Amino acid sequence: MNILQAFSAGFRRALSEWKMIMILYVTNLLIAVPLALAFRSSLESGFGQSMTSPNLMQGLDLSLMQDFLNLHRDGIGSIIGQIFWVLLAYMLINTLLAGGILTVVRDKKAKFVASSFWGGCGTYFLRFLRLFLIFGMLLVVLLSILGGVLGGIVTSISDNASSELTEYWVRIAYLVILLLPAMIIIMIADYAKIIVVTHDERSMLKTAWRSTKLVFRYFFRTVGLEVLMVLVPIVLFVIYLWLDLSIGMTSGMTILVMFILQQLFIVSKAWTKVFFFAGELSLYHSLQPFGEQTAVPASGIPNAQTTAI
Amino acid sequence: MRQRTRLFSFLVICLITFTTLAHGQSIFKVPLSPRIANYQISVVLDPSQKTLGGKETLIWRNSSPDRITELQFHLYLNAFKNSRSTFMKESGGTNRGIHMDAAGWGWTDVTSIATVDGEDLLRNSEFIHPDDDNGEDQTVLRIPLTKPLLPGQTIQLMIGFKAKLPRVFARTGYFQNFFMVGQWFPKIGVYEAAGQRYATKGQWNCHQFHANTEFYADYGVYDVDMTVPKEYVLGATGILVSSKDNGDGTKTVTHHAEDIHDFAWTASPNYVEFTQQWRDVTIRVLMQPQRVHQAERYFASAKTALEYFDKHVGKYPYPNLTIVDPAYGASGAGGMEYPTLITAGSLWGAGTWVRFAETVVIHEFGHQYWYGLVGNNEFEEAFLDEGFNQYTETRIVDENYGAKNSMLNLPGLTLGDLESSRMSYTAMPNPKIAPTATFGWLFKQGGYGALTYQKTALFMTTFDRLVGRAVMDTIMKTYFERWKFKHPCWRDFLAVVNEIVPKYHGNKFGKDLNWYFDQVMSGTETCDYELTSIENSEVKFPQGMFDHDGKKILFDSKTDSTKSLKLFDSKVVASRLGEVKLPTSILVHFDNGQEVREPWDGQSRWIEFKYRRPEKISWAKVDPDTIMVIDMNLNNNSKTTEPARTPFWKYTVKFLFWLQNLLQIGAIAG
Repeated sequence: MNILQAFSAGFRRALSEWKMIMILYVTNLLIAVPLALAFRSSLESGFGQSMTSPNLMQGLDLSLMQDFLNLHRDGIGSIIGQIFWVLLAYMLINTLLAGGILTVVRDKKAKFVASSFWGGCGTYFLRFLRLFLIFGMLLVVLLSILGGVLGGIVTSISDNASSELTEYWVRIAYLVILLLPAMIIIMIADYAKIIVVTHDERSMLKTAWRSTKLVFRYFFRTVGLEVLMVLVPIVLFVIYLWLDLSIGMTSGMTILVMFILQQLFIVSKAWTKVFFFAGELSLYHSLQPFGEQTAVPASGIPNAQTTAI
Repeated sequence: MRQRTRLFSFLVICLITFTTLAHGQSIFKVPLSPRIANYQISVVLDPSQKTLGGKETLIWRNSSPDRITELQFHLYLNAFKNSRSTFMKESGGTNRGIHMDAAGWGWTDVTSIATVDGEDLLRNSEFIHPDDDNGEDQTVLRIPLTKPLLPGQTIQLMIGFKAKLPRVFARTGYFQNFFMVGQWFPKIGVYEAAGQRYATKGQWNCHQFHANTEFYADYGVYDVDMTVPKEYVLGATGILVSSKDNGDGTKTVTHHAEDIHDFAWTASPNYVEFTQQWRDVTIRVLMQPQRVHQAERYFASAKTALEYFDKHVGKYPYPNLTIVDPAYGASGAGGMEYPTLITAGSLWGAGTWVRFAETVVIHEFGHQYWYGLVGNNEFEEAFLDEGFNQYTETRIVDENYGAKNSMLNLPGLTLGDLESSRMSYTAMPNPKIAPTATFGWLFKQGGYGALTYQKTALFMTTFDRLVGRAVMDTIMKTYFERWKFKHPCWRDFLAVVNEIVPKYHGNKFGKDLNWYFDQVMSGTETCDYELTSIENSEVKFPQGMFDHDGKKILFDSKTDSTKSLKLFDSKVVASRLGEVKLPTSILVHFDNGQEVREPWDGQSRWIEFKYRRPEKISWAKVDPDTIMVIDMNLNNNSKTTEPARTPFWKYTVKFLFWLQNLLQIGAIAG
């Protein structure tokens, strides 16, 4: 299977898993809404019955927002501070849900069954958590070293740049050089999860090593598929930005329209999560030696309509 | 004695004029300024060593009634000599956000000072530190005279000096082959006679170079020969007299300038030069090669500023203006003013959606007036140039590019110049940290920038709106015409205000405006007026049995003939939360569209207005015309009984969306 076939298989599979996508979306929404409502409450109490708030409809009036923040900085600061903990909680929840996603998409012909999904979440959570810690630490260490070394080079070039164009290119290159290994590590982590689910692996260090070997053995196919898949959310974001600039939020109706479009975009991001796993899984299956059987999952996780390979 | 003084002055002016004519160039038929400090300088730039070798002839006249027994000179470059200078100690090596390069020291060494008779004055010279106890600061040099200089007498000094330019981080210096040469020569200080500015006795006003101070000097004539590599493009104060190829790979460029108090120049082989004309002023722009497409923006904004000042303040007297676009790594040299030469700055790709280039050009040109033509003491009263200039900048920029989007104009995100000034002031952690009228080096706990620039602009704008634009323009024109080519102090500006305002407003603001400026300029308190509350309650007519003229009368809903007429008791309360007291008004809007404007002298802590009308109050505003831009919080200046909720939903929805995105990005690893 080439990368285009894997891309296409993942794309189609993700499109068919609407129930699962809605679970991901609703989870995301439920976690974000309380903070958003706290933010609204803070805005409303800060502006109160002032007649300046309509000035915010045409655009962000920085002067008025500054006046607001001067008196309510602590309140907003507290909300912003909570974002870190919410983010941490969401990352753990995603680790949990990843097990369910892979359990469902693991088998090409299986359809979504709630018990199967949630069973998979529970079965693989601790293993995925260990993988999260392993690859998380690896990411932090790599970015710190790379960032430090490259940062020094970038600073040295910038300090002696006679034109800002030099600095622009250097900074862009810096970003790309940092993002590329980060993307590869995240991709290796995805394949590690696939290996766990496919072969019921119990040793996460062994799995991490195995997935690393797999990616580097088939480097251009794995990275090629990843780059191709990354283009999809980028294109979706560009479309969203264009809609945002075109429609704006200057009236109640346009706010409602943009809210709907925004939530559709978030749904598409949830779809992207499934799409990535499904595409990577398709490629993984195609890279396995001919005749190798995947392990039967541990009992207790009913896989309706699965087909033993 | 007076006749002798006049004779001396006449002879000096003749000497200067002769010297000027000998150079073959005279700009003004009649001197515009007292021409106290006149320089002829020859300097050679060594671009590889980043050094200057100079010879200076200074003709200085004692314009005071005092016997002068010493001279004091600024050696500004010594501020960058080492970490022990007052400038470096106070700044920590950072100026205007730019950090000094570890290897980029600079200094000035005076190698000789002699009178025209050959008397060596250097041997008894010493560095002094009139502002602090830093014996290691070498930015002020005292030269004792063996023979006192009598009133009206002139002294001619021959000065030899060498200078090492710092790597540019604070206005002056080099970056690779870009040179911005400012404050580079030994510069005599200002001797203030008793009664001049705040001097109670004759004294030198020659401060050390501090992190938060700029410059102060007397007017005069400058003739400067600058020798640079011949491929370098050179720009300087004044007009070009000649450019001579020396045949050794260098050229000598001569500039002449009259009635100025500073001379700066720049040289780089990378400049791309453009020239345009505005009336009789030649504008020359020196651009970096990667930004040549922005030259037209420089010209357009310079012409806008020239036009504005010509109309609202006074005529720009010089025949030329040079605008310098500094090299990228020399951004510390940008945003600076010198007579007839200003430095701006921009970035490749910065379109008109961010008018940084225009704002800086307009601001720095404004300094030709405030500081250049009206020569205030920037050490002691920086607000007289920086603050006044920030005020005029906000007027020009907002009126020409839009009050809400003159500085930043992105979809959904805009910012005007006055708005930006307001934000800088209101966002101060402690806006009461010091009065605006603080000597520059005494802002020891911070606040120099926001209080000198932005707060001054805000209180000037508030004053403008209080007295009216026509009156404000008359004040500024009068101040300019009366004090150009002189050294005014704050007292002098206030005198103009107190002279002009009563002519237009009589006693409306009291016998003088000192009460206003005492609060906003000399004081530290803040201004905050609030529309505190609106109340509407239906008038309930009496019910029950009442005695009237010996009879009992029953009032109930059947007999109440006024039942069809509803009346409301309404009340609006406004408060003064800050300590600054300013006259204002409250605009009360009723739900039938009628409005009432209630004046308030702003003195008491609160005021209330009551009404009994068939209409309810729907909204009210204190300071409805936003005269008090210095108010710390404009959000509390109004109240409505039907607040709009939609804007809150807009930003809540945006917050939700971006939070959701952040969660999904953060969970990529999950």
